[in-house]
Amino acid sequence: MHSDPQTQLYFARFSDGKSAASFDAKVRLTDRGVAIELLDRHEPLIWPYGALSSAEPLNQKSIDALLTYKHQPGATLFVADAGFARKLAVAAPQMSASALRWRHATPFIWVAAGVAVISAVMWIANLSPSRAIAGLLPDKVRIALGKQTLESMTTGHPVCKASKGVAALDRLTAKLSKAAGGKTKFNVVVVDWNLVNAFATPGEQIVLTRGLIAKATSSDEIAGVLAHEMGHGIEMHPETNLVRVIGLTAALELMMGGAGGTIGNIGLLLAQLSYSREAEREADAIALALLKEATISPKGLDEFFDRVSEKGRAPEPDKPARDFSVFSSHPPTNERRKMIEAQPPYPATPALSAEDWDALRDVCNKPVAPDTKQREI
Amino acid sequence: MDATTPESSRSSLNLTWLHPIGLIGLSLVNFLLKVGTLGLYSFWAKTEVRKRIWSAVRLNGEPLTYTGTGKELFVGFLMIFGMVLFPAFLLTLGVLIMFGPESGLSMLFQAAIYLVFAFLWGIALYRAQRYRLSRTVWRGIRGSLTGSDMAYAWTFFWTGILIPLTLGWIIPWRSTKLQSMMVNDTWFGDRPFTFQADAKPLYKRFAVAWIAIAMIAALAFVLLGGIIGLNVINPELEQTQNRRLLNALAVLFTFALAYLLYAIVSAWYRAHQTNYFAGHTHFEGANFRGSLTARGLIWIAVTNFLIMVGSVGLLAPVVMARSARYFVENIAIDGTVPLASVSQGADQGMTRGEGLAQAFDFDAF
Repeated sequence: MHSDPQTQLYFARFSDGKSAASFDAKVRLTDRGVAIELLDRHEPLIWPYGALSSAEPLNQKSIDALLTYKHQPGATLFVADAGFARKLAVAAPQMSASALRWRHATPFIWVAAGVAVISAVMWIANLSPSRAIAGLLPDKVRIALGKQTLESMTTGHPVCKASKGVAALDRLTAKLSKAAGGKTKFNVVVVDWNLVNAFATPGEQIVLTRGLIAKATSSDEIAGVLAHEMGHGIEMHPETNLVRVIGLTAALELMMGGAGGTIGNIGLLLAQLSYSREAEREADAIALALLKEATISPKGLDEFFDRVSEKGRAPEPDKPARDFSVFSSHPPTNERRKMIEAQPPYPATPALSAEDWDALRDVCNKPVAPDTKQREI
Repeated sequence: MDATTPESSRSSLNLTWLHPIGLIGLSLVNFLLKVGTLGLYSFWAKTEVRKRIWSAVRLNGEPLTYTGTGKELFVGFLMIFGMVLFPAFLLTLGVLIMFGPESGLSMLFQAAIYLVFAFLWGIALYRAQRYRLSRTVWRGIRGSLTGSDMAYAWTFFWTGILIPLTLGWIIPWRSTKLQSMMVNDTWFGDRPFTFQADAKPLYKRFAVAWIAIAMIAALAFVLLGGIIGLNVINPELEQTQNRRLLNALAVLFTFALAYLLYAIVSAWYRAHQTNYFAGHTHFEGANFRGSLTARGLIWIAVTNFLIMVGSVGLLAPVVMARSARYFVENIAIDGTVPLASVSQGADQGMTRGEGLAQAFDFDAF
C-alpha cells in the first residue's frame, strides 16, 4: 500500500481545518509526496511536494515543519522532527528560505537595476526631469516660492532702501536685463547683512548683501556677481533644485517605508539651495554673455570670486572657506579664468558711473568698511 | 488511545515559546536584500521575520502560523503613500508656499493636518491589529477582529486629547477602554474573546507612579536650575572650553537620569496593567494570567536597546523576538477550551495590508 515501505515513519499532528482539534498521524516522505496515515482512513492522504507550503521557510537548520496543502485548504500537518523538516527542504525546494527570498527580491533587484540604468542615461544625456517640471510651474507659483525662500533666508535682515542706491542698482539691473533680451523681469534687492553673500531665489528674485557690496572694489565686480545670479535665474536653477529636493525626499520616503519622517519639513527643503558645478558653469557662461552684451569687463566676476574664496581658505585648493557657504560649490577659480581668457577681448565701460557706485555702496546708509566679524548662515 | 477521535472534549492550553534559530543570519540577509532593492524588499523581510516569530509561539506544542505576505504589506503601503501621505505632503507644501509658513492660515492648516493624522493613527492601530489577527492561524483556524475601526479611532482620538487636559489621569481609564474595545472585537474562529474590567483598581498604582514621575520631573528641574544657576553666579567660568563640556555633560546626565527613573516607574505600572488586562481576558471559559514584572520589562528594554545600538538597528528581528518571548513566557492560560467545537468563522479574511500602520511606522510588539 505504501509506495516505499523503507522510508522512515514520523509522528505528526493533523488538523482538518474544520475545528481547532488535532489528531495523531504518521507520515512518510515518499516519491509521490508526503503520505499521511490517519487511523480512521485506510488509504493514506498524499500531499504532493509541489503543492505544499510551509508556515516558515525551511532550511537545514529547521527543527520542525508545519505544512499546508493547496488542494485541502485549512488542513495543517505539524511534524516536530528536524530530520523530516530538513529532508523535506530538499524534496520540496520551493519552500526553502533562499528560494522564497530570491523569488520575492528578484523583481526589485531588476527595479533597482532599472533605476540605476535610467539615472546613468539621464546623467550622460544631461537630461533633468527636475528642470522639465520646474519649467512647467506657473509664474505665480514660482514668485510665491521665491518670496517664501527670500523671507526664510533673510529673516532679521531688512531690505536697504536708500533711494539713490536703489536707483543705481536698478540701472545696473536694467542694463544686464536688457543684455539678457529684456524678456525676464528681475527683482534685485540689497539686504542689510554683514555676510558676504548673493543668491537667486525662484521667480527671478536676487538678493545681494551689504557685506558683499562692501567687499567689492568696483562696480564691475558687483555686475559680475549679479550677472552670475541672473544666469541661475534664467536657467531656473533655484526652481530646479526645489523640485529635485521634493522629488528625492518623496522617493526616499518611499524607500524607507514611510519611516524617514522627512516629508513635511519644508524648512529643510528651502535651505537646500546649493548648486551643482554644472549649474555654476552654466551660470558663468550666461554671466559672461550678459557682461559682453552690456559691454562690462568680465574681470570683475573673476576677481571677486577669487578674492572672496581666498580669504580663510582651507588647505584643499577646491574647498572654499566656510564663511562663504553660498559660493562653496562654484567651479575652481582657474576654470572660470580659463573661460574668461578664452573670450576675445572687447571694449568695456565701467558697469556704473562713479557717482552711482558710491550711491550703491551707501544703499544701506551704513559705513562701507566691511565688518571684521563674519556671520554664518 | 484512539488517535482518530478529537482530544477529550475540553483541553487545556499550554502557551510556550520555542526560540527561533538563525535570526542573526536572517537579519544580515534581509539587510543585504534591502540594500540591493533600494529598500523595497523590506516588506518581504518583515514578513519572513514575522513568520519566524509567530512559529516560535507554541500552543500545546503546535506553532502559530503567520500567513501574511510581503505583497500585501507593499500594496497597503503604496495605497497609503499615494492616497494619504503624498497628497497631504503636496497640499501642505502648496499652502506653505502660497500663504507663507508664518501666516495664520498655514498654521491653522497644519494644526488641522495634525488632528486628522491623530485620528488616522487610531484607525491605523485598529487595522494593523485586524490584519495581523486575520493572518494568524493555529490548526487551520484564523483569528479576526470584527468591530468598527471608526469607533476605536474616535475613542482613541478624544481620550488622547484629554491626556494633557487631565494631566495624564485619564490614562488608566483610556487604556482599559481601548483594550476592552480591541479584545471584545477579537475572535478565534467562530468564538469570541471577552474582556470585562473596571479601571478603578489600576488607579492606586497609577497614583503612586504619577507622584513618582512628578517628583522625577521636579528633581530634573532642580538639577537643571542648579546647572544654570552656577553659570549665572560665575559668568567668567562659562568662557572656558572645559566648562562648556562639563555643562553639556551635566545637562545630558540630568536628562538620562530622569529618563531612566521614568522608565523604571513606567515599567512598574505597565507590568501591573498588562497583568490586570490579561487576568480579565477570557476565551471559551479559559482565563489568561499574566506574570510580567517591572524588573523583567526593564531588563528586556535595556538589553534590547543595547542590541539595537550595538548593531546599528541591524538586529531588529532579534529584538522583536526577545520582546515577544518575554511576553509569551509570562502569559499563561488557565482552564479548558472545547477545541473540537471551535470552527472557522464565516468571514473571509481581509485582503489589504496594514498600510496605514506601516506608513505611521507602528509595528507589532
